[in-house]
Amino acid sequence: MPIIEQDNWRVSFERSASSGIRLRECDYMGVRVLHAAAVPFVHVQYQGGDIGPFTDELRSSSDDFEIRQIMFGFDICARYDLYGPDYQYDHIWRFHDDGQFGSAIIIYGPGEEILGRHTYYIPFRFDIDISGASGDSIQTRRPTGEWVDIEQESVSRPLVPWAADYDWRVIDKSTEKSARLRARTGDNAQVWTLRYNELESWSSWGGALRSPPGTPGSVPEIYQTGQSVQNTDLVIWYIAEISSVDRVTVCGPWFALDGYPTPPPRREDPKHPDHPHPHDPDHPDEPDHPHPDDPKHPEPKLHPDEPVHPEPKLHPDEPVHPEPKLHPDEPVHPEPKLHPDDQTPLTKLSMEYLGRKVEIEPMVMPGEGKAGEHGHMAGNEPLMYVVRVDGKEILAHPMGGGGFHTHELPFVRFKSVQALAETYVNYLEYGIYHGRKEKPE
Amino acid sequence: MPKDTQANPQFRKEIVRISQSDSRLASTLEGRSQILFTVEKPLDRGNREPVNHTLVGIYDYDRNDSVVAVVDTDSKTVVDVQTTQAQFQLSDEERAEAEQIAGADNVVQSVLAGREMNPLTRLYFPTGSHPANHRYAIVFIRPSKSERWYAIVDLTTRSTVDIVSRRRLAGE
Repeated sequence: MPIIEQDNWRVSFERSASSGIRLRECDYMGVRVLHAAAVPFVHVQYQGGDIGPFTDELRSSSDDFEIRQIMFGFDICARYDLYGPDYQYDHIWRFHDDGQFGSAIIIYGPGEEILGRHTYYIPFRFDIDISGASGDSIQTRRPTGEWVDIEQESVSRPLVPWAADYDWRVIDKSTEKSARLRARTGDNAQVWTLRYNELESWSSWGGALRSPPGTPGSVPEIYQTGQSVQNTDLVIWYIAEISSVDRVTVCGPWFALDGYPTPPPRREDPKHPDHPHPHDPDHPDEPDHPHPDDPKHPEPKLHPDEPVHPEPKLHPDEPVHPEPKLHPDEPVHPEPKLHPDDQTPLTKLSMEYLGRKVEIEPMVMPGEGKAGEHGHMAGNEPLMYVVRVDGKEILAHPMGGGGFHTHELPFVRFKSVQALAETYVNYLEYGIYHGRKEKPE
Repeated sequence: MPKDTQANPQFRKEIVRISQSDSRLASTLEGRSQILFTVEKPLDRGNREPVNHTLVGIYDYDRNDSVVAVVDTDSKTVVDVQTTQAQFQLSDEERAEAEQIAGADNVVQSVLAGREMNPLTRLYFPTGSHPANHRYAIVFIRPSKSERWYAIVDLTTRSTVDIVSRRRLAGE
């Protein structure tokens, strides 16, 4: 299953047999947003004749799809062309780096008749998990702007269908995180809110009925049982009803997240330098957030099992993974750059190495401790140093015969405390410390 | 015995074997049935722990039921079986069968007059007197760029029940 980690999102998705590209778990800034999302099928209903409805599957003539880089985000795009150009649909899942996201189906049609006498009903199912599966509540917006709870499973329509307002939101009241939802103008949309149940979820795999989605006797109405939609596990069905009069047409809902961790600033923002990664108590271990302009993360990260892009075509003689060409004496990781004078510090010394703040502080002077009694040196220099790197402390001792050592990096004699400190930074940065220069001479 | 569909036949064979051992599914799978899809379900709801559950969608032609089973591929057991009113999309085998049935119809052969049928086939829901609880397909017959006929195929009875012109479909 491909996974994209980009623009503050982690998006899992898959291609299905009849409902095209489906989303699996999606997180924004490390916090869950969706458990799954899909467009199960398209219901096509003709007017005037005595012919019943049928469904179009969202299938492609190939397994291709595209990850498209856009400003402030990315698209997952697929073309459902199994039935040919008369019945083609395009599908876009779009994600922006500020937490907005949505799904759009482009209907090419109209196929069998060109007088606008048929209608497409397109259900979008969102299994929303705001910061986790449970604890979600649905609210609707009053004309005053106030959000009010919807108590029971039900359907509603936009307050002003032609306005670009967010009329609903799913909120986890315990964390104050929410996803606002708005209907696309012209979708003639219905928004159904149901409590999750497994039978209902199976309809996302293409389960259809004779009646159009959103009408009695069809999905999702048949799963509505009047349950509470407060503080529970919610599913949103968004039904777009599109007349074939308008063509080529696009439909689909749009979401915006609130209360999620603040994303790192874009590089274009002059108020913020490149580095800050705001701390958020909701996910203190937040990993490095990729930014599209960040040279450390130039490409979206994909799951290694399934590359989205085809393998580059290499010359037959070209190795797939050419070895880095290093000078024979060139170490892979930088050697510690020693302090200019390398003299043993007698007072507190501060320096910076690999972007980390390093402090070396003499702690025990001769006669103050007993370090010299177990083989460490004695003399006029300090018997112990505290080396602090970004708040982490280790102790360093001078050795008999010259040099320094620390129990944190055993079996190595360092030329100076500064070299020891810099090697400790290397160890924190790269996880290694057995460089040539550190070995006993 | 059920017919199978989609990729990874070995995996599907194993899913069918596990399903057949379950008393709730045995009668369905021993009769006329069609496996419509199998879907891996990698994560359980509410936690991040991986599970090895597979959803299996089946159409039971004897009872005209859509059946969904959850198979635990670790314990090799069926953990849930439910029926649903919803009909899942046609399998490749059903699509091929519908096209074969339509192509054998005398009216269809007459309108084709030796031309290729060039079919496209979808899940269909009937109107009028056709039994609503049967499973149907509509086969688009496309002998030329603009000429269209539509065969309504009752997959439950394996018969073509109607041939429709484009004008009739469009209500023109």
